Amino acid sequence: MMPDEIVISPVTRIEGHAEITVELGDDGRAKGARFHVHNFRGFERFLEGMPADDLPQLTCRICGICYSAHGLASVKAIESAWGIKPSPEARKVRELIFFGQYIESHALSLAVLSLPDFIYPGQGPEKRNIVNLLKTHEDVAKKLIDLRQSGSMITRVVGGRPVHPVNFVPGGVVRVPTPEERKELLKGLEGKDAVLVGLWNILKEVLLKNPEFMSLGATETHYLAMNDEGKIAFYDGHLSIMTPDGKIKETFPPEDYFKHVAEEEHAFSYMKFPVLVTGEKFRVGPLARVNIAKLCGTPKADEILSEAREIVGFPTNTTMAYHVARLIETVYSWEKAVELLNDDDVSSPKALFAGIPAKAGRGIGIVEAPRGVLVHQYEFGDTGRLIKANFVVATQHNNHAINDGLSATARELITSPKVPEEILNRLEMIARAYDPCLACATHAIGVRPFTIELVGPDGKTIRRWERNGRV
Amino acid sequence: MKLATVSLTSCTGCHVAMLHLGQDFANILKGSDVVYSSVLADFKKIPKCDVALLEGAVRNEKDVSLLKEVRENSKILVTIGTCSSYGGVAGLGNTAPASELYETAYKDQAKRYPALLPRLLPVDSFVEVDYYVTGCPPPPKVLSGFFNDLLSGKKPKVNDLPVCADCKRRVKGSFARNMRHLHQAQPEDGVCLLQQGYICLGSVTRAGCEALCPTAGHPCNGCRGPTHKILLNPSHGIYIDIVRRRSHYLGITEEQSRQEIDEFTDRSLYWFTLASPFLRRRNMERVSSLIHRVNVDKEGSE
Repeated sequence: MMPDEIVISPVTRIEGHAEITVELGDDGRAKGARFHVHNFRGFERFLEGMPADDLPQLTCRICGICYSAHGLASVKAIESAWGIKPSPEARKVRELIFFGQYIESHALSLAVLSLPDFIYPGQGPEKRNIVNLLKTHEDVAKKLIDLRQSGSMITRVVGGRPVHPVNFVPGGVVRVPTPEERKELLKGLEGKDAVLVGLWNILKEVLLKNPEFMSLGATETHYLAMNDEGKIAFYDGHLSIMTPDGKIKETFPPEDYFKHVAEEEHAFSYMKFPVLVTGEKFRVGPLARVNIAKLCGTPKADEILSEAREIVGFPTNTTMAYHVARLIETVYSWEKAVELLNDDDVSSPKALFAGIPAKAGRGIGIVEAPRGVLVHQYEFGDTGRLIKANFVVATQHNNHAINDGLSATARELITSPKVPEEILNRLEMIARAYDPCLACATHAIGVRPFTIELVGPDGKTIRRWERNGRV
Repeated sequence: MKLATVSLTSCTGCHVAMLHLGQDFANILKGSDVVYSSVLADFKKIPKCDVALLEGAVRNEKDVSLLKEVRENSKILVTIGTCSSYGGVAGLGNTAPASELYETAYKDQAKRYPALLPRLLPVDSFVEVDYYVTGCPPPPKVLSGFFNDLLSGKKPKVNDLPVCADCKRRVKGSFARNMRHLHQAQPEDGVCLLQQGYICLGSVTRAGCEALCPTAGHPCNGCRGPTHKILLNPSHGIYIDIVRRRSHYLGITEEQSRQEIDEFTDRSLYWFTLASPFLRRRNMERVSSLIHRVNVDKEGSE
């Protein structure tokens, strides 16, 4: 009997647990593909009743990769509910933590998880990973690991802790870095700009010149990203919607997010499907931000951006351009981190929070997590206990695009149930381009596997690839 | 050494913590044979291995089957982090029935795969664990110390001190009569946070983190799990020891101290350990009254 679906499970070299199922027609060709997300923990429910000051710390734990993004969105939502504004100095300390987060998170996605796909095209799973890169290109691999490390040291020192930092308190920060600590962190960042330029040159060779890779996951969508009058913004700014042909359709304050975005649910995945209220699908994250921004606003990043515009042509719908955008943002984050570490305001006691009583209220906190727009929405009772929480997480926003891109590529590349492993990896490469963060993406209910399934015309599974080995 | 790294329901932060070791972890990867790692490599099956590093708690049916597969195939099973060791923050979900967790998040109640277990549990409710490396995530020094011992064939060292042993803050003068949340007042430098009225779990939490949080001015949340003393002695506990400490310093009765803490907070003392069956059985602890009652016959943990 002809199999009717292929399942890839677990999808590997991503954060979290997912499967991809590819549905096959009678002729054995792929009809479509779906991205299933499996873990669910239930944060929305169990946070109810928690005191406000527990929230930044607990919501950090939604994600072990973008913890600072959750901490910041959380503290901004509390501040919005209580009507307080941190000092400009506090904002600088928070932004510094955030740029550290971007360096570590982007370097992880780009250099540790995805780069092996581009460096070892056509090679088997035992070669396609950072461990092998350490064996074949030790010098490059070590530099990339150091690059990641330079960002995580900022989290460690300024955030107060290496993973799930503690320096987020409504009204400001609880601790500022000393000038000596800043000097030490600057030393860690030294030379990492050259590593990034080196990585850009590698990407130009191994990714941008490979049309088979650049055409993966093609889909046309709208884009949603935060920006500060046309410049990239991570911590605060306006949200803009861009059309697939590169026109800014609308710009609005972050508080109006829910006037523009609605959520759909589908039972095949724990991950929800946001759409614009006008019905269009959209994408968020590095590609959306770089598409929408005219400029980064820092010299080295803008130099690479203008070079990338020549080659990739931002604004673009090319899915694999996510990686290019990610690189540009890492350069931008490096430059901004250096700038802030040289700024004495970051060590100013004015950044520290002043004591404030808890009160009732509703608030929304939005930041650009490394993977895109992240929303925390809280309602507090009189004693500052949480009545209701709602999260819309970056990766959710890309759910439609991931599914559409997988379907398009599956239809193009899968013409029979016998599919070489390398082709299935191409599907996983699409997921990796979005750097999906699935612990976050299931509204924190605890997602599990990312599988690829090949489904036949009668809806039966022909083949499953699973991370835990069920094939 | 054949090495596998596995995640169950988790945030992947423990893998990130291992990557935070930078070149040290790179050397471990380079020096060993990585046979499975869903985060780092593309192997889809778990083969026989010498050591399996396991992050995450058991929340759904898929976690159970994956866990059993890992145990069957590994000589040494190590729980990395507090989720796999004690249940972790997602264990707070045990305050509600699984169906309610689900209803709060989704309007569409169609059944999704894989189904949630009635209750989240740590790994040792299902299989035997050889070593526990705790922390949310485990601190860099704890991780690198453990890996060094493991690779050199030594028995890993146990840190049996509380976080307070590494904390530079001191008890000075009188204890604050009222408890306070962190956002209510900036803590005073150099003074014990519990004394200032914050719920700091340093005294009941296993050391090894260099007291990073209290040093930064943030009360300890207890992410490394209970101290050795609490684990070994059933007359101690996370909640009851904090109750007694306040009662001792303030000269109030234990009952009064209980009431004050209960009024101030409920689950905040059990962020990381609510799902741990081992604390639930202790009468003096409050865990039992906080969790939603379900029948979990097959694990025999009710």
